[in-house]
Amino acid sequence: MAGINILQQVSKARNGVGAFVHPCRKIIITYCNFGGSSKGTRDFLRMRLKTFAQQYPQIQFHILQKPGFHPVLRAQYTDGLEKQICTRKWNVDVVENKLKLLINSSGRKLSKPKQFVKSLNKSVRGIWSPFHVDPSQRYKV
Amino acid sequence: MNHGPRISFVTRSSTTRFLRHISISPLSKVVAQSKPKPVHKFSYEKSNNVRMNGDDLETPDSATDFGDYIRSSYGLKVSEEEAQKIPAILALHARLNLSPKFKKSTLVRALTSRMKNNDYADNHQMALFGSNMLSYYTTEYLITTYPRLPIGILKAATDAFVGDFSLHDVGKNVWGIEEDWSTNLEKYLSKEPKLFRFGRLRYDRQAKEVEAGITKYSISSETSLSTATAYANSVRAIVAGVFAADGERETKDFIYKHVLSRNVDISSMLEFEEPGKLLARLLKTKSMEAPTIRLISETGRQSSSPTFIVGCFSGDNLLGEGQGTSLKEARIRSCVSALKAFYLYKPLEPRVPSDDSFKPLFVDEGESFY
Repeated sequence: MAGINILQQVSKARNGVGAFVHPCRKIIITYCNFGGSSKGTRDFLRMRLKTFAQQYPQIQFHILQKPGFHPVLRAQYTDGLEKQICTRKWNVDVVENKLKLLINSSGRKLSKPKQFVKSLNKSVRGIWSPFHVDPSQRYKV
Repeated sequence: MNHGPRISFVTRSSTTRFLRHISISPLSKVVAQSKPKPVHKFSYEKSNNVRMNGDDLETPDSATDFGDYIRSSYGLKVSEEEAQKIPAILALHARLNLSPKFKKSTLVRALTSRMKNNDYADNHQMALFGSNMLSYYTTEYLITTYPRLPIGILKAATDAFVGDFSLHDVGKNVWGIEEDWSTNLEKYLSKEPKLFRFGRLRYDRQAKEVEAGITKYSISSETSLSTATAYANSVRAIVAGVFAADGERETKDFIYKHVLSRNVDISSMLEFEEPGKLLARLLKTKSMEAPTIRLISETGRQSSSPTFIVGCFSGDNLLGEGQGTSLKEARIRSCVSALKAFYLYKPLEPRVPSDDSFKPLFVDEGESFY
């Protein structure tokens, strides 16, 4: 249309507004078959992994043997981010808790939010304007 | 009719010699062929004049059971049993919360683009269908929510929701579909089962990394796709798969959940060249009084940072307000806000035609001037 130009846009994701897609998509657990530091991780894999993985069908569990290295939990997230935790010398419970920590994370680095509310939408009430205040209520210099 | 002797020393069959349309004879008419005009299409507009051969297609009894068309022209197919062994497919199925009726092998197919050396079922036709579903529900949603949107903005807004770039983001960064980057050698060395490659998005690339640091672009063949298009097609194909498995209601629900829930700021898509003139013409066509700009409040006129609040009126009706550091700026802003208030009019509780409780609504007569 004449006189109106179009500024192209691409929609922005708002995970959870419509459907919520779990951000964690893959867990890679590496362990050593002999090393003492892998003992807790090995125990976890042997005793708990099956029931644990069944709780999270949306996550792909990938178990790798890496002889001679400390055990590592590695989580990959849908937006391409990755987090790792080394589980050296940790027992079964700690390994499981750390795994839960990775699964419940969004993949982003931890940061302290500066505002209480973070939103893509403009304020419904608009920007406050001093000129629309009733003149009797205005601040007088 | 005899045109007399034709002087030609070159045989006409060698067409390569006439590439520049040099006429060899004054009598032979070689008309310079003008190139067909490039038709501008948005990336979501896909299915113009795309037809299938009747032999390749198993058609259902009722032609409108779109989910039951089966294409039979493939040499190979990943069976349902095989597909259930691919962890990436199982995880994606669970992540998108697809119904058990949605077959895993359909998901495998949705991640396979049309490729040069590929005998497996691909997502080409599914993507076309999914694209139509997506653009239908998006357009109907936009038309009922913003009935006065100009057609150009409407199309651009549809593209913002279901265009290649938007769906690329859906597929890659929200759904977490992986691309198949590794070479056959790397797969062999990592001892990955051959089947697992079907769990990733596979397509012929337009850009290829020839060496580390060197990327070759525009390797164009019939099947090569850009990354965004390939991802978008797989998302469209999954939408089509939802239709085939669960039907129309579920598809609509799926589209609303995953695509229309995304954020597009339509008010920032409009840019007015001469807002004052446009508003005057608009009011004239609506047979309203011509716009007048009146000062509502001001401060610091003589200072270095004055502020003016200006209202745009038609008669006694306040159409829009603008604020600026000069009267001119405030005036223009007020006209823009008046125009946006018109074009972005939104009825209360808009209902789309595919809703059960839909009642025909008053859609504006459209653009009455150009």
